[in-house]
Amino acid sequence: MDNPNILGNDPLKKNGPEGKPAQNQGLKLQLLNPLAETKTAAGARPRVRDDFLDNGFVSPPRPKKSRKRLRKAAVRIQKLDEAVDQRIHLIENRIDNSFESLEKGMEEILQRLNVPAPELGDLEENLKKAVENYEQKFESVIGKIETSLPRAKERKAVISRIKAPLEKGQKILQPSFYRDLWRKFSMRGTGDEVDEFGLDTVFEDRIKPLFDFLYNKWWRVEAEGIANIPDSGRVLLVANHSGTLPFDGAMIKLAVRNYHPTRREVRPLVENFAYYFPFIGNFMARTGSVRACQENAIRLLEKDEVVIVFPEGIKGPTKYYKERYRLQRFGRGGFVRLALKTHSPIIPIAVVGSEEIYPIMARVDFIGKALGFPIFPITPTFPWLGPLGVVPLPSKWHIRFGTPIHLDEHPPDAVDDQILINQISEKIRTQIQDMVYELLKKRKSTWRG
Amino acid sequence: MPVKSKTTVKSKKTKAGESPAFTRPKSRVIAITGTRSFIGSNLLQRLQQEGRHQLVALDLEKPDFLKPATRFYKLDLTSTTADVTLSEILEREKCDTFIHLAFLSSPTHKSSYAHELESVGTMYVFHACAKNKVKKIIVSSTTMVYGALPINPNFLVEESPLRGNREFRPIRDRIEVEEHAQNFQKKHPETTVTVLRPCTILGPTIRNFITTYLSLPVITTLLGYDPLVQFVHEEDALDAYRLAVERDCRGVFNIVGRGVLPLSTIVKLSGKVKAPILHAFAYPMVEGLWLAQVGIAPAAYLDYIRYLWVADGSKARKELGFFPKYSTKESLEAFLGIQRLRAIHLVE
Repeated sequence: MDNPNILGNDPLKKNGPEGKPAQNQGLKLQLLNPLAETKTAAGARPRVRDDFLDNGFVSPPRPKKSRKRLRKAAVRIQKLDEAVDQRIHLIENRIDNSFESLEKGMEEILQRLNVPAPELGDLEENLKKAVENYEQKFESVIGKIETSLPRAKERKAVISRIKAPLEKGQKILQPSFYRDLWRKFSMRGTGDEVDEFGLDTVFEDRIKPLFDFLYNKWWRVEAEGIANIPDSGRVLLVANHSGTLPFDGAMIKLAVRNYHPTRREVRPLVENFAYYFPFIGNFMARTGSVRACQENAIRLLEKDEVVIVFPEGIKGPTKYYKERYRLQRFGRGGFVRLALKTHSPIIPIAVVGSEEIYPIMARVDFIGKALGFPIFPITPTFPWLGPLGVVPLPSKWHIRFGTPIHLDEHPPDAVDDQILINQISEKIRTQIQDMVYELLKKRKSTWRG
Repeated sequence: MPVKSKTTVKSKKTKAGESPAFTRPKSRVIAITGTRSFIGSNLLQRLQQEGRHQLVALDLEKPDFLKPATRFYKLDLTSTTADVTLSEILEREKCDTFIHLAFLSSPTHKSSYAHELESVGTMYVFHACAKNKVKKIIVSSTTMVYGALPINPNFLVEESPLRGNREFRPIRDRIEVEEHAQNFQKKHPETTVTVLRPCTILGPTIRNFITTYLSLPVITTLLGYDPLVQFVHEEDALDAYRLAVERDCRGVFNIVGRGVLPLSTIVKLSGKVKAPILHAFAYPMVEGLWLAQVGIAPAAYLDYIRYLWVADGSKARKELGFFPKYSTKESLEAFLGIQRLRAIHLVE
């Protein structure tokens, strides 16, 4: 602290650690809040709340800790101040020294040249001339730059035109290009999340146009009674199964999706064998199908979903064309047990038109078994036309949704009553059979409806 | 032991209180095997921090994080006298709780050693526990014991049969461990046997053969197979073990995170490249790589990226009170985030 002028006023010396920061705060409050003015004016201590005052509340003394902290902070600031002082002093000294040395140097040079110290007027003239000189030079340089700018732009454009394809070519040469391409290609059209049974709505929406085409244009599906499905709550749909490939499930699903007032998602239960195969099991899971077993079905119905079962199982779609529209045995009544367990209503569904899409003339089962499929069908087109044989025939479809059947009147121990379950199962089978016959009577032509 | 006396006084006080539901659990003497495994080391450190229980660590080598209050005994479960040594230790320390975590986290080429450690070692543990009348045994298992099969229900429950590939030794060993536990519970109904079956544990710090698989630059999958996969975050898994220590729940519990993800989505989220291989080629190829000491796992594990083996965690939620904080996706994101930092050497 040699130089008091540079040091300036020490703020800590004026109001030190135990100064009057409280008063300052009070003043600030006054400035911010004009209403508080009268209150603070009344007493020396700033008041925060009226009720405290009324109860004789006295603001507590500042805790010792904060005082200590303040004191420490003050010491630290003082030290900092000293350090800054020293620095400033040092810099000043240096500047002084350099000026002194400069003067000395000048004097030395003048002495050596034996020239008398130049007069002020000469110096000014010289300086003016030098400045003019430099100005001229700058102007000429700037002019040159201005004239050359457009040319440079043109050149740049040409270079970039040549470079762009080269850079692209370099990209193509790099492995990361192919990696990104493959990543995009292999993951296209899939969502980031699936539900707990693997339904990917993004993927489903992507393939939906194809099924919409089949529904509206190819098979011209006419669905009636979709409103029988309640807007919410669990439902078990039971339908007849036919047509080799499970297009009937897809069409029922689409009918409910497109034409039901609440556009409910139908979860079909699928035969086991699909899950042994690559792609098939995957495709089924991503489009909302679930493997047919009691655990899965109960879980779905307890989540109040719409579940569709085909109790005929594999016997339905693999029967010969001559047996068309004759419903097969309804499994072992698993679907009735399911409805009883979960207290869900059953809605019978009849599908007409699906039997004609792949009319099975003959079956070569040993080839199918060798490939892991239940059958190997021979239809008028398959396998004779190769991949074209997979195209289904464009029959006219009718789907009828029956009225809900409630099984709540049965006692809870009916789940173990196999005879009752078989009775209910047979009743529903005959009901669906009747509905199928009714639709067939109404139908005039297989292809035109 | 001043700590112990304190807690007993407290428990007496609370016993006099109104509801028994709020009584503080008693201090236990807990023996832990496998203290250098991921779950073992973290669980032991957590129990040490809490300092409520007396801890006995049993392992081949002394872990470096042991506090002086924790007793350490060297124990080799593969030695033929392991049951005698263990019984002596349990008798001397008067252990009332046993946490058995001495299992391999990744497949090993020394399959007979693995068998001795996992299956026979667990048998020894149960023998010693039976002799010393240990009140509670917690055994670590895995949802891999259910087996990955195309005919699995979408959510395997604890009662589902263990249909893991018994011809494959590591899985058979783990199934045998479960059978030992079941038989022990039948023979000794007075002892609480808790078996925890966590699914794949994933998180920032854990490392095993599955994290190695997920951090490969190109992730091999099987062509046309895209099973649903679930993960549990490492913190959640530890919480589950912690709950199992505190609460006396007998039986088996699946410890799983919320939600599922398809394998392809996992590859997509990790920003890696998927390399699908036809399964007919993949099995011999992976087995060959494993035998050549290059692969990360034998071919039998390919079933687990081929078919479904998702487990249901509702029993643990209801009985154990285990609510996972992280979903499958969040666990994966936690892992991937750290992987990215590791890739630029910000984290080891």
